Amino acid sequence: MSINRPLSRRHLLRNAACGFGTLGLTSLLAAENPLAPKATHFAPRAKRVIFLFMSGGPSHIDSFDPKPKLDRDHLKPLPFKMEQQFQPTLDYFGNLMKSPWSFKNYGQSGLPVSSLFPEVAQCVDDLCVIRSMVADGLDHGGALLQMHTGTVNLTRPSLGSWTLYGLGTENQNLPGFVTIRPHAGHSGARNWSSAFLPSSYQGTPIGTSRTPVAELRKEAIENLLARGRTTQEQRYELDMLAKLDARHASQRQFDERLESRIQSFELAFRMQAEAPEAFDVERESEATKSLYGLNDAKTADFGWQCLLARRLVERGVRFVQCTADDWDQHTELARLHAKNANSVDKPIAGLLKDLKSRGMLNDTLVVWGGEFGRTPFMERDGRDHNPYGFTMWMAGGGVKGGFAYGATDDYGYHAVENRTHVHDLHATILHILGLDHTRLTYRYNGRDFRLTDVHGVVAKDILA
Amino acid sequence: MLYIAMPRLRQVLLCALLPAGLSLAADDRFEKIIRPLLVSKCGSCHNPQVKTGGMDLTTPEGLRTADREVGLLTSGLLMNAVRWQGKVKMPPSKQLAPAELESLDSWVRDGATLPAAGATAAAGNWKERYTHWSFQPIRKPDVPEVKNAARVRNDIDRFLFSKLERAGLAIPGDAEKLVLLRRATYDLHGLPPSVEEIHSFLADEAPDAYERLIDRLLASPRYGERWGRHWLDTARFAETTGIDENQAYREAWRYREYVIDAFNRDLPYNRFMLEQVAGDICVDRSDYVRGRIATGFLALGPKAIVEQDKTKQLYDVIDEQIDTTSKAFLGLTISCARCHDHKFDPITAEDYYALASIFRSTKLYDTIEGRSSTLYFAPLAPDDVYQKFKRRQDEIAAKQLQIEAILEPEVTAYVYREIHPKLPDYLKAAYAVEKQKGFASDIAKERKLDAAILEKLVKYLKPDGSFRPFLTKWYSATPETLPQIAQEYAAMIAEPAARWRGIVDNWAAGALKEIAAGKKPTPQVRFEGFAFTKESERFFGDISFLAKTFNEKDREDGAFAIPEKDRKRYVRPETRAKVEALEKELAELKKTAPPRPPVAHAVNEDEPFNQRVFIRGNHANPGKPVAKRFPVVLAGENQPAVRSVSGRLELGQWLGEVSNPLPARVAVNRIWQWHFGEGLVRTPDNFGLRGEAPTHPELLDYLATRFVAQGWSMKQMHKLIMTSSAYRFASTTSKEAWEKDPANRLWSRFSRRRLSAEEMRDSWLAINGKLDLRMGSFLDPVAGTRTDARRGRTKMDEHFRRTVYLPVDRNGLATPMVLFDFVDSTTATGQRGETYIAPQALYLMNNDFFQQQAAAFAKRLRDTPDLTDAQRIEQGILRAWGRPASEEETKQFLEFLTKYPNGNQEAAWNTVGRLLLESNTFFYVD
Repeated sequence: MSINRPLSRRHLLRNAACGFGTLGLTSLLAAENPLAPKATHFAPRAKRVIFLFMSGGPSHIDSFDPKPKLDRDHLKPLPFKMEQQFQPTLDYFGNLMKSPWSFKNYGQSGLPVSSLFPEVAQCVDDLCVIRSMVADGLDHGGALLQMHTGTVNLTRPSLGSWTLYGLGTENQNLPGFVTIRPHAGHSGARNWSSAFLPSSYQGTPIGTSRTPVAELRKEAIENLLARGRTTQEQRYELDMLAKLDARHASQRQFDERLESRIQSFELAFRMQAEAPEAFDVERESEATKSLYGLNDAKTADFGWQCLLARRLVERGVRFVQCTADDWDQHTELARLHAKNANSVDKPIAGLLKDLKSRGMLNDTLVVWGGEFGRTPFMERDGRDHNPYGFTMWMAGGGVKGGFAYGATDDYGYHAVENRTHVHDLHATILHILGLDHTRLTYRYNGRDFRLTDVHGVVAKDILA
Repeated sequence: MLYIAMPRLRQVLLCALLPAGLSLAADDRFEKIIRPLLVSKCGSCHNPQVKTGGMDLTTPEGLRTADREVGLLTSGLLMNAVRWQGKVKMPPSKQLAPAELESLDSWVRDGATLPAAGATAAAGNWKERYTHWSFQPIRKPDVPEVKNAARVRNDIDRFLFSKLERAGLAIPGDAEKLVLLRRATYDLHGLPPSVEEIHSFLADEAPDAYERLIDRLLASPRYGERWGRHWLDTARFAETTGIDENQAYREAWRYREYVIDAFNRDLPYNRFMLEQVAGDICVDRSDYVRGRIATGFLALGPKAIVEQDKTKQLYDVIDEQIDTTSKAFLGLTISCARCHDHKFDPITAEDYYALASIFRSTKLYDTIEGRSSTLYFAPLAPDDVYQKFKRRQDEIAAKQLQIEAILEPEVTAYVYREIHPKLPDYLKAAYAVEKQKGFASDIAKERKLDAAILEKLVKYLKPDGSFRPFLTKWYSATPETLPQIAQEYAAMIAEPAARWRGIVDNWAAGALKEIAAGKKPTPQVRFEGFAFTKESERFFGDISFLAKTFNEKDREDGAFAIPEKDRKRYVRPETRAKVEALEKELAELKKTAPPRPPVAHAVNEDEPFNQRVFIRGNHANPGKPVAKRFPVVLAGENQPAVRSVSGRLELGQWLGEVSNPLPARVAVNRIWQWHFGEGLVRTPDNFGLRGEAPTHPELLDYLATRFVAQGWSMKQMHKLIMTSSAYRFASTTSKEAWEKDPANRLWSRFSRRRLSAEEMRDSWLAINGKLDLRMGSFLDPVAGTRTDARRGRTKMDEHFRRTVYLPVDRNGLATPMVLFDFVDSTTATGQRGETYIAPQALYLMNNDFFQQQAAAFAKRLRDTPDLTDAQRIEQGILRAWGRPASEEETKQFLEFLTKYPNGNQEAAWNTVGRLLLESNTFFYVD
C-alpha cells in the first residue's frame, strides 16, 4: 500500500488542481512501484494464496490421518519413547487415546476424513493431504512464528510478505497481503510483519482473533471509513490540503518526499472509495452467503472470513490469511474440537466450492493447517502439542486432488514417510506461485536472505 | 544462523527518479530498484545458470564480471543496448518503459554502485582488516583553512566548508530566524515553539539571542524526554519480553526514567555507558538504586520464557545482550561471530565467547529451568536491607509449612476414617439426587451425610463432555446394580489412597524434622511418584484433592477434600491449639516484616562461569575455554585479567577508556545524526568493514577528541554543533548544489525532516493546549506478568502525556506508532525509517483521536474572544506552523470557510484545525 509516485511537479500541480481520480496507478512500473505485478521465475501454477490457519494446533489423527492401531491400543501406555513434550508434568498424562470420531472414505479418491469434517469431506477429491508435516516449535509462540516466517525466534519477513515481494499485487487500491483476525499473541504482529523487507510488504491485519466480527463488518481496516463527513466534504478538505502542500513544495525544490506525501492522501482517498465495497460481503447473493454458512450463528464468523477472502483475491489481493482460533485442546478434545470443526467445516467447503464454480480454484492455492498437530496420547482428556508429525492440506493451484502425501507412524506421533518440514512447505508454496525459493532473496546487511534460510525442498510429488 | 546487525535501512519508497542516494543507501537502491528490474527484464536469459553472451545480469558479482570483461556499465554498453541505440537491442522482445530506462540511466550515471563483494572477497586477509579506519586511534586533526572564513562560527564549519569549497559550491545562507527557532525547538524538545516563545525570540535582537535560546532549550526537562527517546531506540527499549510469551516488564518505566534523567542532568557519557553495563557494581551505597536501574539496558531485551531448550534460551539472551551492547557502544556487529569468525570484521568467535562469558556470569533470569522461566527482579535496596527482608519472608514460608505439616496428616486421617468408608453411601445418595428423588440437602440429612460433600459430588459426576472413561460404569448404574457399583468404586480408590497417605505422612514428618533442625523445610509434595494414568488414580485424585493442587484453571475442590479454611476443625484439640499458637506467631511475623523493597528489571552478578567457544554456535559442541576479555582488535592481545565476578565492571570501564577508538566516535556520530538526520558515518550501528566510511573523517575525530576533552558532556556537544553555521544553514538548495550533492554528503543544506511519531502526537496536544507535561511514574502498564497481559494494548488515545511515557509492547505497538515509523524494538536501532504509505493518510483523514485533537484546536481558536476570523486563522497558523501567516494564506482559509459545502461552520473550522495539523508545513521541519 505504499505509494511510490515520482511525478513531475507540473504534473502534480495539474492533478492537484483538478482533484480526484486523475492519477492512474496502472502506468506504474515494476522499477518504480514495489507493489506492481512482477514476473515470476517460471510459469506459476497459482496466482494467489488463501491460507486457512487453524491456530492452536488441530489434531491430525482426529481429522485427516486415521490410525486404527490407536483404537486398538486405547488407554495402553505409549509403546515408544516420548519426545520432549510441552506439558509433561501435568497429571493424567501419557497413555494412548483413541479418536472420539470415526473415519469414512469419500469421493472418487476414497481418501478418509473423520466425522469432524463432513462438509470438507465432500470436497476431498480437491484436497492434497500432506500427512507428514514436521515443525520445530513446541510451543505456540515459536511454532506460529515458524509457520509464518520460517524461524522460531527471530524477526523475519512472513510468507505473505515474501509472496508480495516476489509477485507484487494486482490491485493497487487494496492492500496486497491481508490477514483476517490473526492471533494477537503468540508472536503477534511478527507473524505478518515484513521485517527487513520494505514496509510496503507488511501484512494488513483485519482486527485480531479477539475482535468481534460484527465490529469488523462495520470497518475492516482501521481508519478506513470517513466519520461524520460526506465524501464531498472530504474531497473539499483534500483539495485544500493539496493546495497548501503544493505551495509549501513550490518553495522547497528537489524534495520528492513532499510530493509522495501529497500523493499518499490521494491513494488513501481511492482506497477509501474502493475498499469498503471489497469488504462488504452483504453484496453477495443469499445463495452464496448460505453456501459459506453466514446464516447460521455457528459458522457465521468463519464463513464471513472465507467469503471475504474470496472477495479480496477476486479483486487482485495476492495473499489472504483467515484464522480460526482455539484449536489448543489439552483438555476436552471431544467437545471443543467438535465445536471448532463445526464452526469452520461448512465455510471451508463453501469456499472450495465457490472458488471452483467461479473457475478460480485452478489458479488459487488454498492451504489448510495449524502450527502443529496433537499427540496420540492423552493429557487428561485432551492431547498435547505434536510438531513431530501432523497434517496440512492444499487445494487448487496445480496440486494433485484426492491425493495423500507422506505418512506418520502407526499412532500418528512421528512423520516417517516423505517428511515435509515447514521450510519444505514454504518452498513448495513459492514454487506453486512460480518462485524459486533459492532465488527469491533480499539483501540485508550484506547477506542474501530467503524465506527458507538454507533449507527447503519442493515437494514435487504433490504437483499435478 | 547468522545474527544480523545493522540499521533498518531507510525506506523512502519514492525513488525511481530520485537522484543518487537521496536517503537511499546504495545497496538499498540496487536491491530495491535496479536488481528487480534486471531480474524481471533480463534475468530469463542473463542469469547465473544461463549466461547468454557470457553475462549474468542478476547478481552483483555477475554485473561486476560483465563490467570487467566488456565494460558493460562503465563504457555505456548497457544503456546503449536498452535504449536500442546500437546494433544490440535489449530486451529484444520489447523495449523498456521510459521510467525503467530512467531508473537504469540515473543509476549508471551515479556510478552504478553495486553492493560490496561477498564474504569471501572481504575475508581474504585478517591482518588487513585491522587497518580499517575505525580501529585506528582517534587523532586530533588540524583544522583546515577556508576561504569563507567570515562565515565560520566554529571549527565544525571549517571542516565542512573546506569540502564544499573544494567541490566549488557556495556556502549556503543562514535559515530565517523563526525557521531556526522551530528547528532547534523540535530538535531539542520534540515540540513546537509556543506563541510566547516565538514572540520573545523575535523581539530579542541581542547578538547572542540564538546562543541563549540553545541554553534555554538544553536546560529544560523537555530535552531529556526528546533525547532520552533517541537513546531508547538504540537500547531497543520496550516493556514486554516479546518472543514467545510477551510477558510485561512491569518495572521497565524505571529504566526509561533513568535515561531521561541522565540526559537532563548531562551525565557524562562514559559514566552513562558504565552504569548501563555495571551500575549494580560501580555505584556507592547512596546511588545504589540508580545504578541498579541503569542495568535495565541489559535486562530489558527480548527474552524467551517457554523455550524448550533452556541452554539455548539462555545463550539467545546473552547473544542479544552482546548484540545490543556492541552495536550501541562500539558500532560493531559482534554477534555475527556467534557461529564462526565474523565474515567481514576482525572479530573472532573467541572474541565473541569471551564476551559471552561475561554475560553468562551475570544473573539474567530468576529461574530459567522449568517449563516457564521466571524474570529476575532486582531489589532496589542495599544488600543488607534486602537480606533482612528476605530472611523474614523465608521465616514466614517456613512457619506456613510447619502449620501444614502438622495439619495435613491429621486431616488426611480424618478424611480416610470418616469420609472414605462412606463413599458407597455418598454415591447412592448422589444417584438419588440425580434421579430427582429430592434435594441434596434433604437427602443428605435423611441419610446422615454431609450436604456440602454430597452437592460437590453430584456436580462432579454430571457428564460435562470431558473424557472420563472411569465414569462409564457409574453412568451405566441401574437401581439394581447401584449397590454393587458403589462398592466397586470404593474398592477402586483403596490402593491409591493408601499410597497417597504414605506420601503425605512421609513429607510431614520430614518437614517437621527439618524445621526442628533449623533447616529450610521441603515444600509440600504434590504428585511426585503419583502418575495419574490409571483410572483408579484419576478418580481418586478428582475427588480427594483441593483445586489448588492442580495446575489448571476452572478446577474445583474435590468433593472429599476439606476446604482450606475448615481444616482446623477436623484435628485433635491439642493439635488445634498448637496450630493456633503457630498462626499467632505467623501473624506477628507478617505484621513486623520489613516492607517489600521496590524492584527493577536489572542484572546482578551470578556465579563466575568458565565459558568455552561453542563450535558453530552449538552449545552442545563446546570447544576450547576462553578467558573473559574484550575483542583483540580493540583491546590488544595482552589484557589484564578480569577481577570482578562477571567482568561487567571492567567492560564498562574499558568502554570509557581513551585508548578505545570506537565509543567516542560512535557517540558523536549518533549525536550528529540526531541533529542532522544523517551521521558523518551513515551506518550509525556499524563502524565495521561493511559500514559506510565517514564523509568527513577528520571532523569525526575532531568531535570525538573534543567530546572526551569536555568530559564526555552531551550538552556541550549539542551546544558546539548547534552554534555552528552548518546547523543554521537553510534547508532549501540551489540546482547546482542539488546536482553536485544530491545525498547531502557535503552538508550543502540543512536536511529537512519529517516529524517522528512522537513529535506528531505531542505537537497536536501542545498546539491544542491539552498536553500533560507531568514527568515520571508510569501509566497504563501492560498490567503485570499475567499470561493474558499480552492482550493489553497501549491505549495511547486515552492519555495526554508525552508519547515517550506511553508503554511499548514489543509484540503489539499502537497503530499510529506502527504507521509513522516508530522503531522495531527487538534490536538496537540507530536510525528510524521514513515511509510514505496510504494508511498514514487514512489515519489523518479518519482516526478519532486525531479528529478530536484537531477539533479541540479549532475550538481553542474559535473560543479566543475578541478576534476576527482572519485573526483566528493567523493565530492558528502561528501556533501550528511556527510562523506568521501570509496574507494569501489567510485569504485562502477565509474563502475555504465561506465556501464550505453545506455551510456548517463548526465542521468547517474543525477541518481548518485538521488542515493545519496534517499539512506538510506542519509535518516537516526545515
